[in-house]
Formats: sequence, C-alpha cells, structure tokens
Amino acid sequence: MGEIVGEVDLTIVLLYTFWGFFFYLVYYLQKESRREGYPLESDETGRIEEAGVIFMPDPKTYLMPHGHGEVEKPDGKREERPLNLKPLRVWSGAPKEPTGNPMLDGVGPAAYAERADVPDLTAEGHVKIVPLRTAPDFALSAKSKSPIGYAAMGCDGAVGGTVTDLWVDLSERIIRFYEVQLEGDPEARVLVPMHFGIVRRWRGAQRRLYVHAITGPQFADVPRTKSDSEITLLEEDKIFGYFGGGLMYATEKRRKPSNVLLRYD
Amino acid sequence: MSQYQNVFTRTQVFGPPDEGIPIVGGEANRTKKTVMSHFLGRIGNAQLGPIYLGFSGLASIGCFLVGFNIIGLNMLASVDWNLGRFFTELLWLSLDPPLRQHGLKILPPLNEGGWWLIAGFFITASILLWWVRMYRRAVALGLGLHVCYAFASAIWLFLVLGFFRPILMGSWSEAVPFGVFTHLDWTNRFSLIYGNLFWNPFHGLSIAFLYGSALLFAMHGATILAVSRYGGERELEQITDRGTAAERAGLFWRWTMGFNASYESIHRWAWWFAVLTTLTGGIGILITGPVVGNWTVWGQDAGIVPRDLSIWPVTPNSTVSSWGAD
Amino acid sequence: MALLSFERKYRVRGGTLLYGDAFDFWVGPFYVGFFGVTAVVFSIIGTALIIYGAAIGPTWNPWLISINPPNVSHKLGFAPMTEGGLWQWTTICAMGAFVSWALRQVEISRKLGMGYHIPLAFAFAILAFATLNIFRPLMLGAWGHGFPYGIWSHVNWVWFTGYQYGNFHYNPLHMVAITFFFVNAFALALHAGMVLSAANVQPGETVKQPEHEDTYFRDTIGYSIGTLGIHRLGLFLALSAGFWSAACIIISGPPIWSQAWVLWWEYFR
Repeated sequence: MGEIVGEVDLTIVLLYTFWGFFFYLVYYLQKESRREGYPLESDETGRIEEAGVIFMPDPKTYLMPHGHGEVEKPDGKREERPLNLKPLRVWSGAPKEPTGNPMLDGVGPAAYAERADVPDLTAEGHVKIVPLRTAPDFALSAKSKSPIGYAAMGCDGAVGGTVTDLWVDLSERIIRFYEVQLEGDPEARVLVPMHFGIVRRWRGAQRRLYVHAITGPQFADVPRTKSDSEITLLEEDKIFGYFGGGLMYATEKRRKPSNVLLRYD
Repeated sequence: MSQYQNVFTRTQVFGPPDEGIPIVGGEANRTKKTVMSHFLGRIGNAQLGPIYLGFSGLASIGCFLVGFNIIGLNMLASVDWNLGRFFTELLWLSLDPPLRQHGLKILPPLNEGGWWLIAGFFITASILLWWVRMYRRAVALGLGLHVCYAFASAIWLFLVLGFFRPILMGSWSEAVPFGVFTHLDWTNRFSLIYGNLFWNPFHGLSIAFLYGSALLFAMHGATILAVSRYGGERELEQITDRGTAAERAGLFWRWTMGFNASYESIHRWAWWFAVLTTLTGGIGILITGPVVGNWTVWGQDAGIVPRDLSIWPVTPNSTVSSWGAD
Repeated sequence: MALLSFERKYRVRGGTLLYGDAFDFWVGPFYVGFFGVTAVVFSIIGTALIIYGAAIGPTWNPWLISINPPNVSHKLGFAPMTEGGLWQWTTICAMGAFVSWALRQVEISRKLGMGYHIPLAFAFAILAFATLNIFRPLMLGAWGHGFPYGIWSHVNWVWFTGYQYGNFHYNPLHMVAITFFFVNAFALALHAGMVLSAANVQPGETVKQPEHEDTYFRDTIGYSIGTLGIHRLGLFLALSAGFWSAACIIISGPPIWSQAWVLWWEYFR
C-alpha cells in the first residue's frame, strides 16, 4: 500500500481533480446562463429549436414579494409583438431594415421588453418611482443645482420643452427621470431617463438639459405614462427604448450608414 | 456635444434616512445615527450608517484590537519604545512567528514567538467572529448565504498560511510574520526555498482567477454602466422580470464572443472566480513543503518546465539600457 | 442560424464605423463588421506564426512551446524570422487583433445604443500589453526586452525579470497594483454574493429588493454603496489593477529605476 501511494504524485491527483471540477463548473455556469433567451429560434423560419436536455437548466421558481406570485425561469415565453422589419438579404445573418418609424415600433436600439405593466414597488410596498412633488420628504441635496425650469434641448439644438419636475426612486434615493412639459402644450408632459440627459451651459450662459438621443420636436413623441404620478415597468422600458432608438434613428444623418463602401439598397 | 456616460451622479436627492429593513429581535442593536455625504453620493449611496452592533461583531472588533495592539506594542518594544523610530521604521518592523526549535509548542517564550501566537489567536478569533456576523445578518434578513461562503474561502487561505500548513510542517516557524516588509520577505523566501513557486500549478491557477476576477469585474462593471441608461443597474428587478437593459447586456457579449451570461448567472461566474482565487491559492500553499519540496523538479517531471532551459530565451538584463550600447 | 428568444428585434442594420453595410451581418451568434474581419485576419496570421515557430522549434509540448523575442543585439530593428522576427510579427498581429476587437466592441455598442464603457475598459488591457512588449522595449532600446509567448516561458521571464530588481514585491507600484487586484476580487465576491443571496433566498422567503441589499451592508459594515455605485467601484478597481500593473513594470528599468527595489525605500528611513 505504501508503495502504491509513494508512486502517486499527490499534486497531479489534486490538479486533475480540480480540472474535472472546473470543467463541470463551466458546464453548470453555461447551463445557468440559459435561463434567459432559450430555447433558441431559427433566424429564417422562426421555428423554435429543440431545447436539448443536457444544456437546459431545470426550471427554478422565484417567490415574488408583495403578492406578485411566482416567477419561473426559464419561462419559455416568446415575443408575440409583430416587428416592422424587413430583411435586407435573403441569407441568414443579414441585418434587417425598419419599415415604419423604428423609434415607436421598438426595433433595433429602440427595442423594449414586455415587462410587467405595474409600477415597481419599494420593500414596503409603495410605488417606487414618483415625482418629487408627491414625495415631500425628498429633496435635492444642498449642493445639487436643481434643473427644474431649464429648457430641454434635443441634439438639433431645438428646445422641446421645459423641465418641470424630477422623478425619484424612493428605494435607492436616486433620480430616475426628468419630467419635461412640452413646448406649446402646458398639459403634455413626458419623461426623459436620467442618464439620457445632461445639464450643460448653452451658448456660454444659459443652462439647459441636453438630450443627445433625440431632436427637439421628437420630445412630443416620447411614450407617455397612463398616470401622471406613477410609471409601470413596461412604460419605463418603452421610454428607454424610444431614447435608445434616437441614437440611431433621430436624424437623417444617423440613419445613413457610415462612410459608404457598400449599401444594401 | 457628448452624451452623459454616467461616471458620477450629477444631481443628488436626499430623503429621510433609510433605517433598514426591520429585523425580528435585533432592532435594538442597530444604531440610529446616519450621515449624508455629498462626496459619497457622487459615486454611490450618500448615506453612511446605521450599523448593527451585535455580540459577534463587537467581540470581533475587540479581538482584533487586542491582536493589533499586541503586534504594535511588540513592534514598539523592538525599537526600545522610541515613538520616533517606531514611525520612521514602521514598514520594516515585525512580530515574527516562534523560533524553529519550539516546533508546535502551544506557548513558547513570549519573546521567541509567544506573542506571535497570542496575536495570531486573537486575529483569527476576530476573523471567525466576523464570519459569524456575516452569516447571522444574512439569515436575519432572509438572504442566501453566498457572501459568507465566499468569505469562508478567503479564511481558508488565511488559515492555511498561519495554521494548517505550520501544523503539517510541525512548526509554527513556518507561518507568516506580522509586518509590512517582513511578510513580503517571507513570500519571496518561500518561493525561493521551494524552487520557484511559479511552477506550482495551483499558484498559477490562483493568479489566473485573480486576473480573471479583474477581467470579470471590468466586463461586468462596464456592461452595467453601458446599459445604465436603460435602468441596467437594477439587477434584482431584471433577474425576475427581464428588461431591455438585460437583453442588450446579454446580446453585446453574444455578438462579441459568441455566448453570454444572464443577469443572474454573471454573478455566479463572478462569485466562483473570486472564490477560486483563494481556494486554489490555499491548496497551492498547503502542498508546498508537505507534498512538494522543489517546484522546479516537480515541473520538470510534470513536463511544464524544460529539463534543458536553453530552449527558452535567456531573459536579458533590463537594468542596463540598450540605448547607446553598440 | 439561431437567435435568442428576444434577439430578433435587435438585429438591425447600422452602427458601423467604417464601410457602410459592407460587413454589417452576423455569422451564427457573432457579429462580423469590418473590424471582425480584421480581427480574424490578424488572429489567423498570428496563430499561424506561432504554429510555424513551434514547428521549427525544439518541442511540440504545448506547455513548453515558446515564441521568443530577438536577442537585444538586434536593438529596435527587425530581426530575421527565425531569430525573433516571428515574435515581432506575432506582436504586430496581436496588437492588430486587440485594437480590432476594441473597435468591434464600439460598433456593437453603437448598434445596441449602449455606452462605450466596455471598449474603454478593454483599452486598459491593451495598454498593459503594449506597455510590456512595445513601450518598455522602446524605453530600454531593444525588442529583446519583451516577454516570450509561451504558456510557461512567459512565467519564466517574469521570474528572471523580477529578480533583476531584487525582491520585486518592494516595487511600490507593484504593491499598489496587487492591492487593487486583491480588493477587486474581494469587492467582486461581495457584489456577486450579495446579488445571488438576494435572488436565492432562505426557504419560503420572497425575492429580496435593493433595500435588503443596502440593509445587509449597512448592518455589517455601516455603508452600502448601492447598485449603481458598486459597478462604478468595480470598474474603477479592475482598471486600476491593470493600469498600475503597467505602471510598475514601466518604472522598472533605466532611465527610471535600475537597482534593487528594496533600496528605493531607504529614502524614507
């Protein structure tokens, strides 16, 4: 017995044990990564592919707070929304071209996900993201300059409206949206995601809220919320998508392919 | 004009202090005071405190202070209680483990390593008590135990260095000294004595996971900041109700490198890389000496080091410039 | 070719930096783009050079294969292929592939309407590589000061280069870099553990929320940096680790420091 042990290099045994463990770990992690987006679907036909047993994780259930029931992942949900897109080439892997107004159709960088159409809630169960005017306990810090009253300007330099309020996340104490009252329409208000806007001096003096993603007139088309003091997760995602889409579709120049060598059309 | 890249929070909002999720039976142990810091608020949350004061936490801090003071006083004694020298020579001062001849004796003479053992005992007790604190706070909030299990992996490396390996080697003198430069000297000497630790495959794995952790945090941090304009930092909400931020984050890596993690599984990758850093490191240290005496010889036998080193280049002397030479 | 369940709506045209629609398509899950093509070309040439180097070298043992830089006597000139030229062209291909990869990340970021944080972060890694094999050899006056391309031979280079400066742990910027690496791994474990433990709770509990995360770290250490802050901090720690690693090696060598690093500290004593 002693002789056999003496022959074995314990380091090698440990090392190969570790490699065995590590390859299993990578397999496990890859499986865990497939709780979202799987099974895959065919690019050309849209047919859902066989999930396969080996690489799909067993479903896992999350018990949601505030009586929102259970969520299972993977959930097997497919997107039903019709996409206003046409392929530019017949072959698989070719990009697609929007056929309508992509910023409103939710395609490309304007895409949004079908999230729950209910407001996000704090741990106590209150609506999480609300305008500052309805959260009297919250205020800007003494050292923060309030952007309320600034003109909201698009990438074309045109003013789309005026900042009238800020929407605050009561859980994380962070501002999530600027509320902008549209130019020439005192009743219409839209939300600009916090990180799509930046306060800049305009022409040396005036401070403005600069929104690079969209033009001034496009403020009018920002998806609206059903309520003037609540926003659902789905509404948040639609607004995010609208501004994201503007980065590619807001102007004629942005829509044009770069430095053209070849165009599909 | 450029876009906002979300590096610092520009406009901060303060509210009533967040006193935390109520916990059954432990509420009285929570301090009440909170401070709002505009500076912290530029990076993350502005609120400092409250903090939970429980038995394990206070005992841990107490043990740490005892150990810390033993180390400091020993260092001070080594410079004849001269405070001036203490501060100028602090980086060089050290509390060393017991002399070799004392073996695994529980309490050798104080000046020959006894103080090191006592200080080590208190520091170890402090760390273990802090683990209990991390465990108990997680349970009190109904959270999983992932943080304290990760912490246990770091404690494993700590115990290997100062406890398990000295026991296997039969002497406390094998352990690491308490000192800034002396622990670096120990590391250097450890590598030299055992024939170049670089050929220790577990040392290599530990470094790979350490670098991998930096890679993963750079990838993850950058990805989340890049989709923060879509609300991407709200990870818990996106795990159970995927939004466009999580979709873009995943697609970015799928399109870049062919596969992607999910909002939950990226944290599993990250957790394992961080945990394996100290786990493999501890294995590598533990077998150095008790199992392998010379890593160069081991490396040659295993086929990762050439027996004829001349097949690898001679590393040129970089302390001499080639500029101006002929 | 296959798509994720939510992928189809994102696969639109546009966002390229160069040459319009010319390379604007996908192959399987991979986006191609002009820089995808250059990245592949550089990688294939670089890999071929390495295989060629192995073929004319003394071993096919993958652990031992090493593509060696030229002798310092070649200074900053091109060396013959078999005497380090392979290493020089591999380095050029590596830089070409890395920069292509970063620019491809820019194109993908643009296509998805994301910020440019990822290519910026990758640029730090490229900088660290360029510091070792381009900037420092330039500083020292010979390509021979780069590290060899081999799984274990580059480790050998680290060992011998380190000991030219005595105990390299005394390099102050090496200390800074290591500290950032350790803190980064520590913070990564805390963040990953926190998110996992809030999503995978004790039996019977509901999924936790940001307030629980904040409460856990406030209870234990008195401060919670928050969901946005931890990603800023993590990116900062990881990039700092890479940056100071590059800094610690660029200061090792003339004209900056060419003695044992332990002597540097004598100034403070």
